[in-house]
Amino acid sequence: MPDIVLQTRDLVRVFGGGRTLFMGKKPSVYAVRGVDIAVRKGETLGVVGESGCGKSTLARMLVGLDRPSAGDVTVSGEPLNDLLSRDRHALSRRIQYVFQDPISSLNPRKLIRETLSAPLCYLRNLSGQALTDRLEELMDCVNLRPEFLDRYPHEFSGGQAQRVGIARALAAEPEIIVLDEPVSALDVSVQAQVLNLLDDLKKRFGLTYIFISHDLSVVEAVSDRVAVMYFGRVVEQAAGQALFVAPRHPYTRLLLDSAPVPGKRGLQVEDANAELPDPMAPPPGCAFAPRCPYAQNDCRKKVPEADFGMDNHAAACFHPLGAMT
Amino acid sequence: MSNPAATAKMAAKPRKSSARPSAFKLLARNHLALLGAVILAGVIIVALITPWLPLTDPDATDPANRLLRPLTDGHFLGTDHLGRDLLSRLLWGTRVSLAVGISASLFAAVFGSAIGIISGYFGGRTDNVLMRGIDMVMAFPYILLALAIVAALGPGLMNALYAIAVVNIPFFARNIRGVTVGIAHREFVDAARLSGKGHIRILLSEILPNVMPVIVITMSTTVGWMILETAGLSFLGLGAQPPQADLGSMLGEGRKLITTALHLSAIPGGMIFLLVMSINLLGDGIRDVLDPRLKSGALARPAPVTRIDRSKTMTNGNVTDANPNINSGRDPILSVEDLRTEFVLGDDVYKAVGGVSFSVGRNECVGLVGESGSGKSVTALSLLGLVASPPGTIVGGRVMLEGRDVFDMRESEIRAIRGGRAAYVFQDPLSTLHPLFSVGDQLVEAIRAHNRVSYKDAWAKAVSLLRMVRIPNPEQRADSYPHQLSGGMRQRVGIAMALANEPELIIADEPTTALDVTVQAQILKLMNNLRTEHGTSVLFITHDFGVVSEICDRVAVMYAGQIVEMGTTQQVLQQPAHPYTKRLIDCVPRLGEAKRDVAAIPGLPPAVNNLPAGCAFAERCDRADDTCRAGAVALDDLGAGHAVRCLKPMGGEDA
Amino acid sequence: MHVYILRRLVLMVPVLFGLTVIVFLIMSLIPGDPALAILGSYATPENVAKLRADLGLDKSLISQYWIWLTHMLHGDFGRSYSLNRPVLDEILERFGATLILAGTSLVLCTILGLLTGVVSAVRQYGWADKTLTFVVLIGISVPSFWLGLMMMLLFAVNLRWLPVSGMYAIYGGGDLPDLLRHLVMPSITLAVVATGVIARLTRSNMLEVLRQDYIRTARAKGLDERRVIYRHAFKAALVNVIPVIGVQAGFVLGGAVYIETVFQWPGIGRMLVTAIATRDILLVQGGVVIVAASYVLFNLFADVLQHLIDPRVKA
Repeated sequence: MPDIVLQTRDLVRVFGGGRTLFMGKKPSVYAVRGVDIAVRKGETLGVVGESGCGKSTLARMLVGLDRPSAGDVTVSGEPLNDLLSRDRHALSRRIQYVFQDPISSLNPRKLIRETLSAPLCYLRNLSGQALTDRLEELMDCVNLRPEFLDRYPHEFSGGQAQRVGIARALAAEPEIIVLDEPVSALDVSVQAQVLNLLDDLKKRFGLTYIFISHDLSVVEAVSDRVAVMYFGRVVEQAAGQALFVAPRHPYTRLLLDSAPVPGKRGLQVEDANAELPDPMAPPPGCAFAPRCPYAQNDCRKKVPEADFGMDNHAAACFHPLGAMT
Repeated sequence: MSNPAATAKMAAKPRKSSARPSAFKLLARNHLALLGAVILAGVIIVALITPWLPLTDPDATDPANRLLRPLTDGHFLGTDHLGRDLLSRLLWGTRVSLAVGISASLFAAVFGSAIGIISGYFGGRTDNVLMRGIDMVMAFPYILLALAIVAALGPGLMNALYAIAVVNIPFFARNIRGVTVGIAHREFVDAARLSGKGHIRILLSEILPNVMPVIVITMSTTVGWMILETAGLSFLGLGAQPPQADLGSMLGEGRKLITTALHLSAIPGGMIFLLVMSINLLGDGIRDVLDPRLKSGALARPAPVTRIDRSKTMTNGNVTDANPNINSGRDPILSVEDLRTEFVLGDDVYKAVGGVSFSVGRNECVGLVGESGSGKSVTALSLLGLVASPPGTIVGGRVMLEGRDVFDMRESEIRAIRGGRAAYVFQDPLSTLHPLFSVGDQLVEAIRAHNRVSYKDAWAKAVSLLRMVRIPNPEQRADSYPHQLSGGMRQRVGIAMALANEPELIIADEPTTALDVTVQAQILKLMNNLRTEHGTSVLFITHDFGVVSEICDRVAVMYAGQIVEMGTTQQVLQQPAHPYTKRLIDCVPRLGEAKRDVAAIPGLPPAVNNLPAGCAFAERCDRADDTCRAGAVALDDLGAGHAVRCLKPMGGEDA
Repeated sequence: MHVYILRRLVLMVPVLFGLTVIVFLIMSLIPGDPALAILGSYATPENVAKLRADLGLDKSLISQYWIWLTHMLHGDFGRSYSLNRPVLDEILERFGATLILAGTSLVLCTILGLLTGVVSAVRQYGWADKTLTFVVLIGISVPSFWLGLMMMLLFAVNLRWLPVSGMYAIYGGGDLPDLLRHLVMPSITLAVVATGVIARLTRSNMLEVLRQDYIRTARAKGLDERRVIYRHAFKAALVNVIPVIGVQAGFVLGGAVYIETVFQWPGIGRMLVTAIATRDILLVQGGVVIVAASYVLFNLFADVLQHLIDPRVKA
């Protein structure tokens, strides 16, 4: 499939581990436990999940901020490790990242001009007039006035700072941008501004997005395909609205039922006070089984697998919903 | 929105930049620091020009004139046991002491900070090896190691300098490492990495500028010590060797003659004291200026009850709402009238709450909705005087609880209401529960604050409260500490604590915002059940209209410190009358309606320290005209409990 | 709990080991030949060579260290050439005096420091706070050895309230009241700086803690202010102050060097100063190792205390 620009195969990230000074094994935390995703050129893949599901760790591995413990990432068919070893800038020129907290992603002691110049200097080798021109062009792209270049981050509101963050990502002229909860730190009235801006930029520059969020409604609004993560794995993936209309995995169902919608009353709430499984000792079977109303014995013994292709609707579940209803 | 002062500041960010006083101005404002700076500057200047002053040679002995008292002719400060002029020796000694103290401090700062930054930035094995080494050095009592080094190198001023500097390296390394670890994990460092910067560039241009203030603070606190310690070594005879003298060795020589010639020890000792004192005064000032927490006048102890000063509002010309009690008609248990809360930060007054009126009926759930900086949390905290003060002040209004104005009550009466008749549930249960007490213990405290019961009975009640909020194994969980519970469980504890004394009113300040959706759904359901079972009223602060629909009977929408619309949940959500309400509802993507356009609201909310004369939303509103901007807009009753603060409300067109 | 203490005790071993390495390395920095230093410049080369062999100086640095360490573990700290007696005997004789002085000072500075800090924080910007802050500032700025001299002059020489120096009166002394009278000035002088440091830290930590959300929660529960301050805030502040008290123990043990010199207190500190002056290296080594080890032990105690108060601290 030539149009696939980013693909992961059985990606795993384990934190900790190793041994302490005196005997004893250090505990290891399984953050990402085998993730396969693929993204086509020009589409938006939404990744949704709750805190601790490993979505941010996944995002950091895609841009090279973190190294996988196992599995691999390929960018347009080239393994990520090859790209990194060839030239440490090669990956950053193709994939960029937008951070969750817009203010803390800007150095408080630097002018916006200095922050934005860095990718232009180091990744695109611009200098002098070309650099100045490009800076103003970038500010224009994200609808900020050029005089904002000579301000410090503390003079910005969250929404403005996030525009700067997006401009910084754009400066590298990447094909792919990983957006890690880009609007969740923003006020609702500002969220929409940023979402609309992201949509414009995507059309204008033919970008590919990986949009990570905990907010189902935001993911639904921006994504072409959606993957749902739970406890370090993708549990369901589908194109378009299929996942929202007819979820197959009981966890997706639970997520959809739990999200309050303006004007509607009567959330469906799970009864059990089940907690997330212990990431230091992942269960042998399906991680959702202890909370799942449909779980049977097989669920607790073996981890359900699924064939997540490109556009099919698949769920990693032995007893998916909708089979009979 | 746990910190109202921070919220007020955030709203002000876009335009306030010049208002921040410069570091030097702040320093000059601090009189003690200024005094320290003046003394230190004086001493340094004198020390610098000493070689050109008309002084006798500090080492010229004159046995005929030995041990002269101060104020003798030709010897202003007298002479020592060899007849040397004390003034001359004092100035030359000060020069030496200053030079040694400052060089040792610089030496320690450079090496210590380098170790700290490298260790903190790279982490992992590098950090481990460096820090274990530092730990070893720190395992020695401070001066002892310096003594050992001097013992090895031999007495002498330079050797004392090395010893003191080496001994202080761990202090810098530890401090700087701590700060660097915090900064290295900030997102802007990752951003710099993705911008193509290498480690060295990141260390020098991203980390170092942010660590610099801490290095300066640490230096300002250590220079004084180092002068003291080098003087100490010289005093013991291990530093400056005769004939060279620093303040310490002068004191050491004078000590032998203390009963006969007091001035020989009093004067150099006093000089050390003056020098170190001025450095410490200045250092405190520098720390106050550079420490961001101290900048906003924070680190003042918040009073148990917010300061109340309603003298100003009686006369000002603000529009107050004639009939504040647009309510459901249910008998109100809480009624708020024209509440005003302000924060004073520097020269700015932030009107966080600018005249808010609403009421909560018995067994009713009222939602207070708004974005950050709208004043909703400050409103909630103001009700029982929990706004941190300084900097907050309640400048106007009344809060009527059971027929009495809370702001007229004595502190003990307010305390009796808090957690008794009215209880709070806060946003982030990790930071709002005490980390060092078990949850059972904290519940017991809440119970015993209002009831005379034994600890044992209260504990039993605490367990039953935990069971009521459906915490599994409440008997065991009561013994756990907050950090051992998940976010959802912690919030259940927070709710149990609020329920401890069967309150009539629960004030819930964004209780589900920090939680995941599945947990949020559980907490909302729990609160709803408790409300129906116990007949409690709830004031629910949130920014999420979805949550409002789920739990609230009535809603008040806040914008820039005022309620702009109020009505039943259905009225406000189905037929919003204020353009802001309408647009706020529309700008959120809605689940199941993916293809609906999300219409962003242009612009930003106004800063509450610079509110426009007219409608605060006018600048962002497509319906606004000059009349909207002309003057304050009153809350207009639309009937049936629906009210709006708008001259051009949305008519029935959307109904 | 026992597991924790045991773990900490085990972790102490590498620290103590590293400590001896550092002491040994510092001492090996000494320029010149120790054998020559002992025998003086008139020694014959044969004698020097023999002494070098006796002292193990002809061996490699590592084996020298190993010999020193194993001897030390067997209680053999070597022989002080200036006093001509075993180092260990001398140290043991003086260690008690230092412990009495430093221990009293540490208790003093902990109690006074915490008290001053809390009062300052609670009465922030009031006259009590301003006065205490100023006194504390003087305390941390004054050279302790000078303060000792001035106090000695005032209270012992001029007023004659207290003995000038020493640990016991030479004639008819030796009982507890005599010891206490001798202890007053040195212990106070030694405690002054540490009191100031602890007081400042307690004050700022109390103020910091009082702004925390959980203090607001405590107030929202309706607790009275005394309980909020002395139970909720103080406990949280104490968690940050305890490690610093541990560090202060080091300052007090080290500062004892000055105070013992000023007041002629027969402790290890004074012994060290004399030993350095006479370049009695074995005595210095032994003294430093023993004092440092007792400091490590004290810090272990502070860690355990911290662990008892703060459930979040993991081993």
